[in-house]
Amino acid sequence: MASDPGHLAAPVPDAMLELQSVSRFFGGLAAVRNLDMAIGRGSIHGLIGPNGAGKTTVFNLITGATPLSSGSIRMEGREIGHLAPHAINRLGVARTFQNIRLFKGISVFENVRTAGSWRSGYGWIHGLVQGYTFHLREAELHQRTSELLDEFGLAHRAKEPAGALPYGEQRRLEILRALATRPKLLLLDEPAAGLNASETDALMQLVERILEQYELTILVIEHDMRMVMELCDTITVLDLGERICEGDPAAVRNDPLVIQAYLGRGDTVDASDQ
Amino acid sequence: MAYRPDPVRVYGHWLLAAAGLSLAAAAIGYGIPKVLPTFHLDPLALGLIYAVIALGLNIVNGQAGLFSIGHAAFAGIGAYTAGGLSTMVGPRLFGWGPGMPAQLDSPAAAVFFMASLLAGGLVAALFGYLVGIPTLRLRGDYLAIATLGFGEIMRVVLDNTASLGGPLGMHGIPRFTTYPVIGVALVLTLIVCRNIATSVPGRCFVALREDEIAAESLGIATTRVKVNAMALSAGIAGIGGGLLAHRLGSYMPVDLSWVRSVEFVLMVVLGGSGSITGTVIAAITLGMLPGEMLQLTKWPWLQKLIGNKMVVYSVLLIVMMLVRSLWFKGGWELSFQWMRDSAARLRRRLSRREGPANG
Ligand SMILES: Nc1ncnc2c1ncn2[C@@H]1O[C@H](COP(=O)(O)OP(=O)(O)O)[C@@H](O)[C@H]1O
Ligand SMILES: [Mg+2]
Repeated sequence: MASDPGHLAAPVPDAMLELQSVSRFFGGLAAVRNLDMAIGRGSIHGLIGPNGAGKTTVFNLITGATPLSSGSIRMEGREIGHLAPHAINRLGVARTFQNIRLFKGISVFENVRTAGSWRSGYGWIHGLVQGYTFHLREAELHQRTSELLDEFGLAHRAKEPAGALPYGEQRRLEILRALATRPKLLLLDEPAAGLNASETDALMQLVERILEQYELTILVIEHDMRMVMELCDTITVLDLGERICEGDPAAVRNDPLVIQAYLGRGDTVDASDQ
Repeated sequence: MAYRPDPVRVYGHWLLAAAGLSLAAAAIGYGIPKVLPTFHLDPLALGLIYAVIALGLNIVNGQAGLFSIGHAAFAGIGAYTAGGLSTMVGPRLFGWGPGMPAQLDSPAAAVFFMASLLAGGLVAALFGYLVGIPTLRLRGDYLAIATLGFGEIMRVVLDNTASLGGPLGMHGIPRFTTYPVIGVALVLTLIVCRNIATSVPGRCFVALREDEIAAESLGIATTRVKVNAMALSAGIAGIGGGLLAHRLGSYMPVDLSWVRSVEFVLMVVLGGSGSITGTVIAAITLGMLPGEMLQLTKWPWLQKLIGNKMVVYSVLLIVMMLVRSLWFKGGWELSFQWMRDSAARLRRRLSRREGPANG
């Protein structure tokens, strides 16, 4: 199932992120093999594929959580393949996790505030002395945190421990926490997993809102095909670590390779079939 | 656009806090020795010094969620460094005779003592840093074993270093750690710990404890944060060790053993792992215990009943373990914010009681 030149999308002129022949092996298993992908500035790019296709591994490679076996990843033209995750975040990449990784024991407010920390612009000395600069920076941080929570409907939960939130709000909080680092590129790993239909609708509205409001570029992994087809400008389909198709939703939906990859596992691409 | 804090208010509060804390230091330094019966003074002094060391450990074990069982060694490094300066360099600088001065006899000597304590803290911090670099890639149990190993190595090294007294340790350390010294040291330690906990560096510690992978993905340089936490924590323990050496007058390699480290771990755990207030309370209680047990000789029947330190210790541990979950749940701190909130709650409750609708 090698990638077929016929399925290559046109080159993206203004790419936020570019992957070039990226591979990652775990022992003998190629979780990702020779992947080329470009994500256009300001777009919502979908990454789909059956379970085990290597989607989460792609996120781990982009964010530096897993080292590359080979290939190159460029963020706004800058090579980031060798950087540590925190350095990549500071270049403007933030993510959520498939299994939700909140700071469960601390409050919703603290979750978001901690994420904005490195942008607060003060360090040990100001923290120790707590003079005017400290209070100024803290006031700004406090305000940004409150605004995020207010705007996206979590203000009433601010004082609760993050782990006590219902599932849908945990997903939402994880997105807000990532936003608090003010990224240019946001990676969402199955944000609708475990959500019901109305929660998914709310999530889609949230994604569209943050895309505009924060001038973001979004790469989203999602199994909910209704969401993928409605939201995404471009979709990349992975199967067994390789790209089998890329294009706009309509093209992907009708691609025989995609249908085969999904049908072969009793899955379906089109939500209307379910 | 953005809200800007008022400088007058900020510095007003700052000065008010400084004044209040100076008062607190004075209360510990001069008030306690005045009001407390003499036989409680020695045990309490130990408890207060242990609080300094436990506050250091609380940064690593409580806030950053790492696990060190080597803090008696960091305290010991501080003790040997500061004690060494007082017994070897002090006599040359100030002409102290073999009996050592009973107290700090000049401002220059006081400055020298302060510098010795700081030097002890710095050397301990350096060791914390050096231990941190290779071991902090380890997690959980492995880190615990690595720090335990480090502590035992330090103990054995001191056991075999004749110039530092070998197994007998260091003796004749001048007893400079009076109540005023303890008061200042404890209040300063509290300020450092509180200010770090309420600012960005402290939040990074907590993020590390809560989820290292998430923290790293949010721009927190977790490896550096860990090493920083270890160095800071060891440094504070080192200062505590210096204080202890100058209280006891001697310091021995056994004081660095893992059994002592476990006592510090207990103080942090009983204090609610992460709570500054809890750590101080637990450290004072456990630290005072052995000294207070000596009072039992006054009541032979009671001594017969609970004459063994370990019995009381065990019972106390169980009781504190039970009570802790009530007190220190959710990282409770005795803070101004808490006092304001409680006052508001109390006022609400009182006004409701006076209300006509209440039956
Ligand atoms: N850390 C790892 N070690 C070994 N194998 C892994 C690791 N992470 C992922 N894999 C394997 O790589 C493949 C792709 O996994 P993943 O990227 O999680 O798939 P997806 O997110 O598309 O469901 C799977 O076969 C998985 O077992
Ligand atoms: Mg996945």
